[in-house]
Amino acid sequence: MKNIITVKDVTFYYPGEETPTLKGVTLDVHKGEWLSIVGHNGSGKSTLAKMLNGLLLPNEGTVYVSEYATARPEDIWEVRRQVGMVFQNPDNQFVGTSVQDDIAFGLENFGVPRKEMIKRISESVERVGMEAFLNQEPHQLSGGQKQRVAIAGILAQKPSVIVLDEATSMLDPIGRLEVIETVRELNRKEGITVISITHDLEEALSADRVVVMKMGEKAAEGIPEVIFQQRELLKSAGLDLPFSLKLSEALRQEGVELDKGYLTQEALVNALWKLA
Amino acid sequence: MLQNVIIGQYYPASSPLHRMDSRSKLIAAFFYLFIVFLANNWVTYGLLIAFTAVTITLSKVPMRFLYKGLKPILILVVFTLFLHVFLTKEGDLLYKAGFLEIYEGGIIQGVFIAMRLLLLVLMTSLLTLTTTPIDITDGLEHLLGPLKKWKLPVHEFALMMSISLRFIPTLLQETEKIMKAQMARGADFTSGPIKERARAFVPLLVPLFVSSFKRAEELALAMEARGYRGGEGRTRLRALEWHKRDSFALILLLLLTVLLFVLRS
Repeated sequence: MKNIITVKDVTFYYPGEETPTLKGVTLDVHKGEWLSIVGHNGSGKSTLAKMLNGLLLPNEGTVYVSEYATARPEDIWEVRRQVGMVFQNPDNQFVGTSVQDDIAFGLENFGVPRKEMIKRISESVERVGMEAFLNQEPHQLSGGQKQRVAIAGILAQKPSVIVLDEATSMLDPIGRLEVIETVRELNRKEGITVISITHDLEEALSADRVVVMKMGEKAAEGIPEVIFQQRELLKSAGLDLPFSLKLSEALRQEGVELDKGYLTQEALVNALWKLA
Repeated sequence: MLQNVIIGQYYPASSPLHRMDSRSKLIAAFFYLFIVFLANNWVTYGLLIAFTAVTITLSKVPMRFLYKGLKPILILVVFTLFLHVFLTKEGDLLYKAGFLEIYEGGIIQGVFIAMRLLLLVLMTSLLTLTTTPIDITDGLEHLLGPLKKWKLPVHEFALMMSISLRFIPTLLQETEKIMKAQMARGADFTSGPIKERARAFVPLLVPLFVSSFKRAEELALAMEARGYRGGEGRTRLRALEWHKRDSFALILLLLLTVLLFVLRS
């Protein structure tokens, strides 16, 4: 499969710190996949996210977005256009005074002509289902709606990758679902690569691939079904197992004959009602 | 309650004045500040009053909104009026009681100066009543654009303004939240002597400041992630459109100026 982002042997120190936040991280992101990067606070996952669009530059190693290097000053704007980022706090990334002004912000930065801007804004609000809110001001929107506007702002720039940096952690369950569903649509229907940085393993369940970060290093990488069976690894990385997995473990200990731990509620229910 | 907070004193309506370009309104208001000082007799003041009255009618802003804007300045107007009535000693003596002497010139002068103040405040509040703060910001950025040549950070200033405007409701919401949190723990913001009340605001302001700094940092990062690199080469979604009515308004103002010059004594 073709790589869209290639992270090679990246080591990074925050200025003035002795221990590196990232230690020799190597990572391939395939085109069109949904990759979840999970880890505890301080595992370096957010730092890794900021490497992907050149907000931070590695002390050692390289990060490439297709053929553009984040470390090359002449490439950096193309990198940022291609890799859009949704941050944690919905309020602190809303720059414009209204929904359309905010979506326009990125386009204005890239010098897109006004006519084209208007076209792209109306296209991208539709793709996130916010077309009825074009003239709303940010304080009139819910957290989930603000995050969808942030996604629309990225879409308008015709990106190839969307990075969700804990983008759902401050939302209520409905807002979380809203955002995840929106991104899933974009991932499936339009083939936009999604990298979701999270400490919520439930969210990582829907990923094609999962990378586990621990103390600034990549501790594991693989499909969710395999990663989530490695309980000890997840525990040592400070992660909480998904609910259905914990439940199946508990049931097994109580003597219920389940052949393995089930990842989703649906799979667990299916296994349970088939029991004699 | 904070959900529908109105920033500034903008009065939403659809009037010829609302539809004018913010640049022409800014120029007109600024120009008006100067020509008000040209009036120095009854005819010229009458002319200015008529002009202002027509503008107010055109703006469709209800009088009570205008009055709200005038209230704080009214004391000043009355004060200047009396100052002149009692202290200017020109013209015929009209009334004398002990050391109090009122002259005709004093009354005329007092009325003129008070008029001048009222007209100035009326016109400038019409500007903010008929133009949204963001439009004023845009207009200022365009008008001050030429100053970029002298390294004046016009774009940065305008961006700063628009970000502040965008965050006012957010910070108000946050203030309310912190206030409730402190009140739930027994803080009292509404009673006691002023000194006590001022002290009660410290635990409100500190968290607000801390979070504002955090917001600023995160916002800067988000802006950078979206390709922000200063005003150079930036296009704009908000377009200001100069119509015939804008030129017409300015020409009208020029005619008024000429008339004032001719009619003043």
